[in-house]
Amino acid sequence: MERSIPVRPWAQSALVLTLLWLAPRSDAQHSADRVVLVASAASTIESLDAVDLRRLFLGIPVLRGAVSYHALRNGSDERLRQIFLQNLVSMSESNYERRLLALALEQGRASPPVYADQGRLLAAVAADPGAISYAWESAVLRDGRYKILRVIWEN
Amino acid sequence: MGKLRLPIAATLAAIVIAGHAVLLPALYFSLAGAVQRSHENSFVNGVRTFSRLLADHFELGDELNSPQLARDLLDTVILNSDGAYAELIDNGRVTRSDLVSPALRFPAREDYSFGAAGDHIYFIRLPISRPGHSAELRLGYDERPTSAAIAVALRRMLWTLIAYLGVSMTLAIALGYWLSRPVRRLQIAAHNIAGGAYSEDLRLSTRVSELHNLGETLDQMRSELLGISQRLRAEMRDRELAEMQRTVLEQRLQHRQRLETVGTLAGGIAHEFNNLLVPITLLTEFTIKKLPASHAQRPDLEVVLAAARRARDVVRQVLTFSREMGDASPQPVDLADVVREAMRLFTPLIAPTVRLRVDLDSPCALVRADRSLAVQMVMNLCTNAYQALQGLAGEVSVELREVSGSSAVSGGLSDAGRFVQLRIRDTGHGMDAATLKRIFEPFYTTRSVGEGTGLGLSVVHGIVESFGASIVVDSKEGEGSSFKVLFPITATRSGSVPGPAGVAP
Repeated sequence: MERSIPVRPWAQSALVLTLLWLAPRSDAQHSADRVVLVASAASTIESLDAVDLRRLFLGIPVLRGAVSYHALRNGSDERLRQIFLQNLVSMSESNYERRLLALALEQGRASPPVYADQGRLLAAVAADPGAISYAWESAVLRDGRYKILRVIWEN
Repeated sequence: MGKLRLPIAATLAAIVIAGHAVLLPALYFSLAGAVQRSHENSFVNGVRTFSRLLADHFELGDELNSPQLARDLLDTVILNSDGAYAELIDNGRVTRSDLVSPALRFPAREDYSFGAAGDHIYFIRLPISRPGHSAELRLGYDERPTSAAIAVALRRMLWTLIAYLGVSMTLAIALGYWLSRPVRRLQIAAHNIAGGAYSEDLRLSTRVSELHNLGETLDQMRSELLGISQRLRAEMRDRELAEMQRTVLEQRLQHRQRLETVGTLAGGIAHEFNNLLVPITLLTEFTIKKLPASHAQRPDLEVVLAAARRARDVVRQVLTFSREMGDASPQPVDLADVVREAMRLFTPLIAPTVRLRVDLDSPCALVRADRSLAVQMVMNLCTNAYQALQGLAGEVSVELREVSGSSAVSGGLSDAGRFVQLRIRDTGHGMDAATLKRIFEPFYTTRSVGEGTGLGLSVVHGIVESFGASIVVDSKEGEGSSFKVLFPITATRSGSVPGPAGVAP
């Protein structure tokens, strides 16, 4: 026998309004946002060119002075994933995965770790001066623990 | 509703069609997806890499400082690839390739996958990082050549699958015919065998081992069936023959029982008559002897005596029929000698128009018989044959030869062994079936009153029975009659005794 949960009319209206408010919010937030390359505020690196970026995100460390830089992938957002593939590594997804696999098999290089949670990713970046990653600018803009190296994508 | 039954070729074709109807669409869509993804991935990877290289060029080269160089580089995008849109925005200044269609505008959002926006152009945007510049590269690539390549690949794949289906169908039908041909041959052969043609060979000339083995097995079954059928037919023939012999023997037994009854009756009467005739004969002879030769009563008494003697002969014949022959002394005799002696007596009696043919196996095996009775038997049979000619021209033949049990069987005897067969035939008027049944009855005759006593064949029957022999009569009206007397052989000339030769009279 089916049982229905009684919902008051005002609660229904509140739920609909909340959903309407939440639905476009994230997109609107990103629509006015930028994707930036970030490093720890403690990092000494100031800039990275496109070739070094591709090296990093293919799992090849980049040496600057005594520091070996390595990349962390941001897997918290599908849009970020698309921007990463198109603007950062400039490959199709399958090609990128194939290259990672080839480097791992041929040279034993470890693929950049993927963080599904952006908070944990940023914490890892903040704690590691050699870590390089990317994120929405709004997430790191007013946080002194991070350094923005360059803009990867801009709406 | 009965099961739908199809020929092998049609069944195989149906299976192929049904199987392909399920498999081919799945295969097609799976391959089509793979082909499409491959082309799209290749396109996306190509345009991203190319765009990255171009952006790197702007970042590292002098093009940002020279609008003409920038325009040339942007033109290269359109000229050397599937580029459709190439634009550089540097510090608010827009530089666009002259080769871009004037109607084409960069959309609000770029593409991240092939064919996503439905405008057939893959738009991509890359920021250019260079000190003193806030630049962005905007590029568009025509998706239609890749779409056309995908369509061509899919069309080729479709035609390939259709061709594959056609080849599969053809092979299935050919395979079906190839497989069904020996099966059809088996079917026809089995049908012929069912119709009684057991000689049909069921072995198959085929490369399919199962069918070959099936043919071999069926042919073995056919051989066994053939053997069983032959045995059954032989058994049926034997049973029919046995049944026929049983019927003949039953008829003969009934006939014999009837004759025995008649014989017993006639023998009893004959004894009584004989007892009555003895004083008549003796007293008449005594009286005749006492009377002078010229006595007037003497001729009358001689007539009485002659009649009494004839009556005594009749009584003797009746007694012979009833096998009460006290003076019979059976011993091994050569029937050829018996026949020769009878012929010496018989030959002078026949008219010149009657041809007598005698054919004897001589010397002949010995049979157990009383010689004088045997002579009488032959004489009676010959006399009967001669009288059957009714004074007309014809032939009486007498044959004597040894026959085997199988030959004797045709004469109504079932026992194996060897016999001496005496056959007396005439070309007279023959007898009908009713007459044939009664010919051995005493006093039965077809002749007019006074022309015969009707005891001749009765006496023959009595003699034959007393010898343990058997008599068989064949007769056909208008063609004559044949009397066969079969004597079991007692001993050969060399003295050996043959196998069982019991006779079923």
